[in-house]
Amino acid sequence: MWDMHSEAWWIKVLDGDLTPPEQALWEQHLSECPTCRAEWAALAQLEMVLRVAPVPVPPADLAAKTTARAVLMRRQRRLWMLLGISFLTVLLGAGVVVALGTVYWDFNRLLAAMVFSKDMLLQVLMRTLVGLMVAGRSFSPLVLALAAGLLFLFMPHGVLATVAVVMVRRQRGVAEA
Amino acid sequence: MTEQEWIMAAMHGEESAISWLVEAYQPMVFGLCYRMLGSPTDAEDAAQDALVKAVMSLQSFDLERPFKPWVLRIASNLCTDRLRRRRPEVSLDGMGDDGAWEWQAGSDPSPEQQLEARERQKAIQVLLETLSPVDRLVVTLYYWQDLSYEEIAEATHLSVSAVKSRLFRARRGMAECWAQNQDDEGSYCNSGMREAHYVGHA
Repeated sequence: MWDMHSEAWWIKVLDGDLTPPEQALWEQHLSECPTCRAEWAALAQLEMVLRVAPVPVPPADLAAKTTARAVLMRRQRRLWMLLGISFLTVLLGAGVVVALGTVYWDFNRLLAAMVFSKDMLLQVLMRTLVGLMVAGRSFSPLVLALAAGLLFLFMPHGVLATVAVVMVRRQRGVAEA
Repeated sequence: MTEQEWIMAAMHGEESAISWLVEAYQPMVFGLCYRMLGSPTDAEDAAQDALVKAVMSLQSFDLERPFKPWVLRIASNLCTDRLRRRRPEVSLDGMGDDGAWEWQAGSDPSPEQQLEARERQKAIQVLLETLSPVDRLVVTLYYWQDLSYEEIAEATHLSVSAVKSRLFRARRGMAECWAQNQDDEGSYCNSGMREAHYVGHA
């Protein structure tokens, strides 16, 4: 049995969830309880007021202004992302160069050779050259991948498509030959 | 194109899709902001911020879910934050005189009708001002955004039963306030009234 003064009952009534017997009981209760009758009338009046409230209409230029701002902010975010990637790539490249230099360019010996001996200078230069060649071979895929990545990020789509078409034609030519 | 296709295109940064989304959702976002903040200028500002934020956060939107509650949640959070940052006393003098609401297209209201509607609009905003930000949000989403209890619960991070309870108490408080206003013409009830109102008068 429902307590007709409870919040749950009122929510049920306002949602229109009463069964026909419940509706009859509710109407009987309203006729007997002046407090509920007054509240019910006030709620019904409020419902009407809120349902017919005028609709706020946004200013005519709001959509255009908002779109322009959203597009600009997206572009700025993309630009910052590209700058970040470029910066990281440069940083990585510099790190690689420093690492290679530490391993293959013996700066101290180079300096000593320049000061003390031409033979030693030649020897050190040869070692550096060989080291660079070895490094170049082992790191070339990485360098190529970085270059391709940068190209992909910065080149307009039309140029990329052209490059792709040229590459495909060359491959076909090689296959046919 | 379906709405999902527009949203996906907007996710990829297509300008026409972003424009479509903004056009489609700005009336409801503006309506929500206006009901929540009570000022056309603040509402315009908040609606713009909310829509831009929605466009910038599109990557986090789950395409399996409806877009409307998602975008309204962003606007609701923004409005609630702004209301909390505001001073407690908000003057409603002059509100509604700068035409944030209008008649539906096709109608031709007389000056008397316009005045009456403006007064009604002002009275509704006064009623809303008596509610806490969360209750105001629940009422706004229920009456003017036509969201279901479940959708309101999702937008407000409340449970469905809490939404029902808050909505009922807000209605009851506003009804009492409205009746009081009708009795003492022009003297709007204060915001403390709702807190003093108890639920269940048995």
